Amino acid sequence: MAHVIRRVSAIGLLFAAATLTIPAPAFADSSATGADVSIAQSLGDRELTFTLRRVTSIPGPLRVDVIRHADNRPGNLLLSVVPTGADTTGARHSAPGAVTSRAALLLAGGPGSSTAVLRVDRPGAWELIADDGSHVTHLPFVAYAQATSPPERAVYVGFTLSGLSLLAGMLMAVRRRGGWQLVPAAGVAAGLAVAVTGAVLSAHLPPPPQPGRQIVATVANGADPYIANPRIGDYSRPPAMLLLDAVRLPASPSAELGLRLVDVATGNPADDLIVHDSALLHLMIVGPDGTLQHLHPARTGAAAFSVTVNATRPGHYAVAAETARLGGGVQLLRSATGFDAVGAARKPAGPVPMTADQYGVVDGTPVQLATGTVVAGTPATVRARIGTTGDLQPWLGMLGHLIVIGPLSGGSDAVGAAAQDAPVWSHAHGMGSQDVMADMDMADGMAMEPMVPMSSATGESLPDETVQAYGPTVGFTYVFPEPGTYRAWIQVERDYTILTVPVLFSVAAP
Amino acid sequence: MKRALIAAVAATVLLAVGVWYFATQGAGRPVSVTAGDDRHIVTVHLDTPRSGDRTVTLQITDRAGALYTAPYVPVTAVLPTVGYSSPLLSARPVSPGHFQVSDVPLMAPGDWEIHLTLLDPHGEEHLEVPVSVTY
Repeated sequence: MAHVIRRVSAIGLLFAAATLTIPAPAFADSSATGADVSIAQSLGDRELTFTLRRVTSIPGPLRVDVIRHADNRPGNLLLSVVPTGADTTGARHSAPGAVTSRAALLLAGGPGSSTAVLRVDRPGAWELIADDGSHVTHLPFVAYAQATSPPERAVYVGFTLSGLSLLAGMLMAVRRRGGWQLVPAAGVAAGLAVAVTGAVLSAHLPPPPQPGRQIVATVANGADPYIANPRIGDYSRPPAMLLLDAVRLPASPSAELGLRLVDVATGNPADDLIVHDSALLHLMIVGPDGTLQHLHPARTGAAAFSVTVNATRPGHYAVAAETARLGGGVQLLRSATGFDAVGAARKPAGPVPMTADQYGVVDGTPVQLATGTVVAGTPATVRARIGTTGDLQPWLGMLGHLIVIGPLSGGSDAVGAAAQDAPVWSHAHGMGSQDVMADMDMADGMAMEPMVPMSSATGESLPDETVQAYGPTVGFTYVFPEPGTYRAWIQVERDYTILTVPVLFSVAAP
Repeated sequence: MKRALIAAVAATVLLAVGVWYFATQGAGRPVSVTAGDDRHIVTVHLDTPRSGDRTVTLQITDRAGALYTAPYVPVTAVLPTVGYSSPLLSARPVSPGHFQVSDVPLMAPGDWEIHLTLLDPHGEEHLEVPVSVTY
């Protein structure tokens, strides 16, 4: 009887050991590196937002959603993807640099979303090329494979060692006894120690440098970011410079402006921009009549960009670009020259800016401003109620944008020239408020509405432009550094249209 | 006695295997990096990717596989995080499609870029190949 019980319990423990031995499939959740990427592009006269959905398996599909705005002209976009990451893994794929997948995307007229599916066959750096027939853009992105972190590997190795040792120990116990039994017993203890240490430490270890955001993405580090060697503490790069290809353009409603970015330290082209606030490059152009154009130039080549500018009114245009280079660090690059639109065409004067606490109608939308008295050096909160129902959409990931330039002198006919020399050029964001009740006692009952979420702890997709559920009040808190007259523009998105509200601030001395 | 001897030999063999495995995982082994664009494919070979003056070998073909021929290839080594660029060097042909340049000053560990300029009937072409250099 005793030997039957012994045999049965041995077999039972054998099963338990077997389950420990079989490692579970390793599906690491690398949510920080695998999120959807949104890139805004001003392609010709179209303002499009390319959303590249997270690649879940490699080789596998890449889904590209293109969000169109209200003034979209119908047409076709030819999409293709090119692997650009350097390859050290051997000749398993075709060499990088040639197109591997193509798709056509139909752009219907008006607002909405269009989809196309392409195929990525390897991890690492890629480029999405979009061609609308007259303008081409090359958008860099990274395809991340599922990677197992070293602590996870330690957990699996540890449990496998424990399981195998337990199995060996069971077999030994059933067959014979002796001093050798200590060996598998020690194996079980060692395996469990390794696994538990790995699991506990995994939450506290710093993440590896992210390919495509901090270090150059290659096929090898796209597959496994943990191979990055050497690990340095500072991935930042020197700043870039913005150079315009032309300083004089013929005055026209669609003038083509070329831009180049150059590395400050070496003078080489700076071809390592990363997507920041849903665009590679945010271009802000202030015209002579006080109009602001916030555009996202198309990347036509290495460190070369091109954009179609509305330069109808002749005069001076001030240009600034906001961008971030690989390794981080957002920079605002003001063009030292700007450009002049040359021509004899005359156009009616630009929109009259609103002033503090004023009510006005901008492009058919009622806008109520509440600014209070603004004093230099003290944080001032500017609130704008756009429309009456809360139907604002997140634009570039934010509820609203405020661009401030000043102090300005001169009349309303040469705002571009005044902006060229203005000491302050700022770009602030309005996100909404997490605590709706906190602002209920503000003037005019303009409580700030729920916040546009900026990040997700669980790696899920954040609300994009198609969510029309924010506002109607957007608020910005800004410290005007110096007293004087400032021109500002509040930009929000409503009904798939970007609304630009010009505002004039008179900032008092402290 | 015999049992203890078997145990000692087994433990030594295991230890040796473990040491050899981890030792060969280290950096500093020869590396070959392939990059390309729509006209050319470049493979940069570095025998010793450690900081110092190193010899870099280039293998250049066009996308159809034809070997690239030129009297020399202008090469610069750039460390973008520091903002350092080496002087303009010339990689000389050592065999068809293969070019070599010695004494490339990879003077610090980090993610370097080898910049080269190619010339073909379509015009000038600039390529950047990333290379990781360790201590």
